[in-house]
Amino acid sequence: MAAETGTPTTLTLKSNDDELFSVAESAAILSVTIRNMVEDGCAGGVIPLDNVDGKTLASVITYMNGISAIPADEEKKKSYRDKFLSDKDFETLADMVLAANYLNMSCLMDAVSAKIAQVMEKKSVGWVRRKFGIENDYTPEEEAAVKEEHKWTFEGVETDDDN
Amino acid sequence: MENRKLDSIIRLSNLPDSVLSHILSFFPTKLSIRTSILARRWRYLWSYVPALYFDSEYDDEEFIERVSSLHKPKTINTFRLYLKDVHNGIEPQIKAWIASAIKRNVQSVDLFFTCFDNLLHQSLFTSKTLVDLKISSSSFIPVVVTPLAVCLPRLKKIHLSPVLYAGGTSLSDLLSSCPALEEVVIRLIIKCSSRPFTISSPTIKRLTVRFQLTQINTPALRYLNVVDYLSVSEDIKSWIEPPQVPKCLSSHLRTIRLVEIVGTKHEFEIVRYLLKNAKVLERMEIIYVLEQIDLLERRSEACELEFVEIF
Repeated sequence: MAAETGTPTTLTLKSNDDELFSVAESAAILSVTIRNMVEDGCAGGVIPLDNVDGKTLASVITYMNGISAIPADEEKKKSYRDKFLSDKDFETLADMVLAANYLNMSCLMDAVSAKIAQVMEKKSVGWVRRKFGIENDYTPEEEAAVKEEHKWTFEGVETDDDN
Repeated sequence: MENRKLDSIIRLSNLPDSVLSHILSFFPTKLSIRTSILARRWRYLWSYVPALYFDSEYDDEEFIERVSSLHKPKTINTFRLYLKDVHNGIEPQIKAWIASAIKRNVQSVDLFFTCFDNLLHQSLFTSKTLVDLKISSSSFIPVVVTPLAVCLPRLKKIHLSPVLYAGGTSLSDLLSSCPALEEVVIRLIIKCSSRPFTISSPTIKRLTVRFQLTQINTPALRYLNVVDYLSVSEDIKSWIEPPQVPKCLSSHLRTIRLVEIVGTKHEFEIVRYLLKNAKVLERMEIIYVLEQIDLLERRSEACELEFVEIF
């Protein structure tokens, strides 16, 4: 639970599993979704965030506080983002991208997307399908045709019998 | 916990194409194309991604040509081209790729070449949509790449490195032809002329330069990072205070980073001058420790001094 004391304006955010979080308004409005709610005067009580669970929201709030404490210095912000994402596994990154999309936080969205690209770089097709929850609806012939069409893009990729 | 995992994966696969395509825009184009194998929905998704990212280490010219013809968006956000070995005869193609990106109203262009023989298309310098331009090279970018006609009304960031500056005004003109410019990074300029290099802009907020700065006129400056190899090596004997304290220094400058300070008298005088006159300074970073600096008079009470060690 992130608790802020002594800040001028504090918002209370509620995750979809009913956890409550206090966060400084100045940090929370990094989310355009939250900023719009504040501007529309809907932020008086508790702000429900129906698409974000408590664990992810706690992480997003850590990010909001961390990044908003850094003055306008893009290099330092970038190294904060890199460090923030460095120990996150794929599932957490997936949760973060969903949360960033729902909360409309472009800087977090971009950083997580770039990180996902980095993680996926050498992974097999099967791995990506499993991680993204993608059902392969190609017929074997179609799949072979697509693979043949773009076979030069698969150099250096893991084969499919890995995890 | 497993349910939560499953749930986020299902939601990931339910993301709209626009979001998936945004995620793919951070992928090298080759990796983005590779996703076409995942399922039917993904087959052509890559071709709508508003970004192109090529690297000659993985992509040959044929690939780049082919992708360029299959790629659908009328506008693209990002164009990245890293060419490590440019062989003779390919120049017109490179120019055409850049021109094609500019034609599609690209906002961010990032180019890396090992050599520069007239590779930059003129339209790169007259784009009405370009916001962020980065040109780097393992050799020098001759300043002749900066053409006579420059008009970049929306450009906010420019990164150039390294630059061979033969004198004249073309680089200064380039910077002053960007009315929205906020961030300038010019790494390592080699000057072949005794003519001073000046940076003049009412809008620049962040400036990083690695060469001997002769004159800057940037009243909106918030961040200045100078690595001045020449002054150190030439061992300048004296430093003359400007007759007037520049307004950008006294009322705007908040961060100063001094690199490779070796403790010459003139460096000490410059530091004394900066601390004495920078009224809103919040941070001065000094690489190489000089404890005496801590004792100097500071005009800004909020200013913290930190001695940063180089590793």
